[in-house]
Amino acid sequence: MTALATDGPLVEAAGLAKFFKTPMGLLHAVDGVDLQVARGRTLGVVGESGCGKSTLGRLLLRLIEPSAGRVLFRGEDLTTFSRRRLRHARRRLQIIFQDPYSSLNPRMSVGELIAEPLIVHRLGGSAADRGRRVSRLMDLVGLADRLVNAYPHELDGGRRQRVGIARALSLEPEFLVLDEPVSALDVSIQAQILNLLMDLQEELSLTYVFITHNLAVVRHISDEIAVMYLGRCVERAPAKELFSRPTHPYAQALLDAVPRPRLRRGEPKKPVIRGELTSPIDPPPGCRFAARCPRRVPECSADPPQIEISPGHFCACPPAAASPPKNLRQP
Amino acid sequence: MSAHPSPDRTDRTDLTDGPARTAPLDPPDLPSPPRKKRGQWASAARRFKKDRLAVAGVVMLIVMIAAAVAAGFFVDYERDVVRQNVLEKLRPPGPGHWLGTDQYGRDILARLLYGARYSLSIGATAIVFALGGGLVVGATAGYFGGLAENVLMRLVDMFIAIPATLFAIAVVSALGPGVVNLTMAIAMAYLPIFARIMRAATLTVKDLDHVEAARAIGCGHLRILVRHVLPSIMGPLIVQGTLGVGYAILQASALSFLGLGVMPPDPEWGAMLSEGGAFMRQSPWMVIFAGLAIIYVILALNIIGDGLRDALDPKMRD
Repeated sequence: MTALATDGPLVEAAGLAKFFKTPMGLLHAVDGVDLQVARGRTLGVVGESGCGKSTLGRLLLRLIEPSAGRVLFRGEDLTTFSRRRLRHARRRLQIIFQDPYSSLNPRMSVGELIAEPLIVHRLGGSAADRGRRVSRLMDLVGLADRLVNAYPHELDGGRRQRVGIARALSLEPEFLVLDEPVSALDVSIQAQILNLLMDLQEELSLTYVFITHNLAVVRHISDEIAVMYLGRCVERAPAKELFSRPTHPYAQALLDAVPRPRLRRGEPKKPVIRGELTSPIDPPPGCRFAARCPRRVPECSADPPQIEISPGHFCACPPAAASPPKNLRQP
Repeated sequence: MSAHPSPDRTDRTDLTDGPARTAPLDPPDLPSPPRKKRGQWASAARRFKKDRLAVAGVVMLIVMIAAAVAAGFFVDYERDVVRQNVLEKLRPPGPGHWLGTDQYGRDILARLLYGARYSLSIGATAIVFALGGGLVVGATAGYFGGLAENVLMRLVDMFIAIPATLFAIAVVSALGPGVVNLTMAIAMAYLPIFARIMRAATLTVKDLDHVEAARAIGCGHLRILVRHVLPSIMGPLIVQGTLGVGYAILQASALSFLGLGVMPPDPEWGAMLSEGGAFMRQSPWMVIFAGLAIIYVILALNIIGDGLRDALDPKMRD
């Protein structure tokens, strides 16, 4: 690419938080998340439903306003941008939505959908030039040219998601938030879309934040993985490391939740975490997972620091970080 | 371009047998030649033309408008519509007076045809203004929310608290009677109601993913409202509008009856209907034909409205 490359991460979040007012109290959707994504890399964000993954993705793009914290894009704080500057910056920051059925305007044809970003940002020149560009984009994501005048309801889920990808790519972004981009698709189509996303990343040196609840998918595509629980990042590590040495009790439980065949009779059953997700509304201070944690100690009622166990492997659980698992898990 | 291949990433999955991306997916079930480029409006028009009932509705409406326009050639306003003729009063339908005469001996057919000019134009104009205003107020309130919504909707609530008829009476009393003031009074009476409906419709649409997607690609508020929100609330807009014309005609008649709208002896359907009420026992034709004229127009408009709503929905088959 050009000489844009800087040493620091392309995207960086510091103390990012979003609270929603509800009649019952303040809902801590995202609560003090720090992360960095290097150019051309993929950060996977995993966690169960309602842990704030999608909110985090929207905060990173400033599609919703953060309650606290900063988002640095190429070292500049997005949260201080004016409306005009933010609209301009949208060219570099794009999102791909989970549901390709609802994220495409049903009244616009495929061609119109892909061309709209170009029109909004006055790119692509004349209508004919724009048409050629749309055609190139459709080719890039593997959509047949003849679909240019089709409407979204005439396409299947995989093709719709390709339209969503082409629309996001039309502005030649550097950073993409992929918000569960394959969760709504059939398994066979999921693989196609994942491969497409990985190919595009290599071709266009894209930087991804990949949000999902699907552990197999996140492992396949990510360089680094962050595990979220109730609005907080409990563990962050390179993908391989996280899968082989999960340290935080929640991360361990999450990985254990993947059903695995017991091959030998004597193999012990994995413990299952007890209790229900505690309420994200006005949570007590301290570790969010403490109420359900098998390794709870009195210190857990203080907000846990992020401890670096090995290079690039952070864990927000002092007791667990003090004695990280030694033997590698079978991935 | 320098890619960043990550060394420790697993290879691409091969869960599928087919090539993943490079080959355009081409199952045989889709029609293979590229579909012709057709604009949204052109394809909506095509769908509308295929809807026989809707076309019939348009024909009904055109017939009524044509009759109202043509009335000038067949009947003389002074002689047939306004002049009283006591000798001919309350004649039942028959030769000479096809739809009978009223209590002043005026030909009901002639009055209905002339009355169409008043009723149709008052109803349509009032609703266009009410819908337009209601759309602006309601969509703004619903889309932006917050303070704008609170201020606008509380104002709307205030106006809704006053019955529409009473409000129209107040407006006409303030501005003075007359066709133009009557139209404006009705428009203002219905505006808050449409504003509420449009706000509700906007609220259901504005949090849809495709509206958020529009924000994500950097659309401004105006473009989002016009290109992404408005088309999605077109359905309720049109249905309410076509229903509203009927109400507006009735409202106009009520005000005319009170002497605040079309002044006698000018014919107006609603006024004719209410005048006929007094003679319903011995000469029901006065009420029947005025009522039928109103029903006819409302029916035609509703059919057209349903057809339009379906035609504007691209999910309907071509």
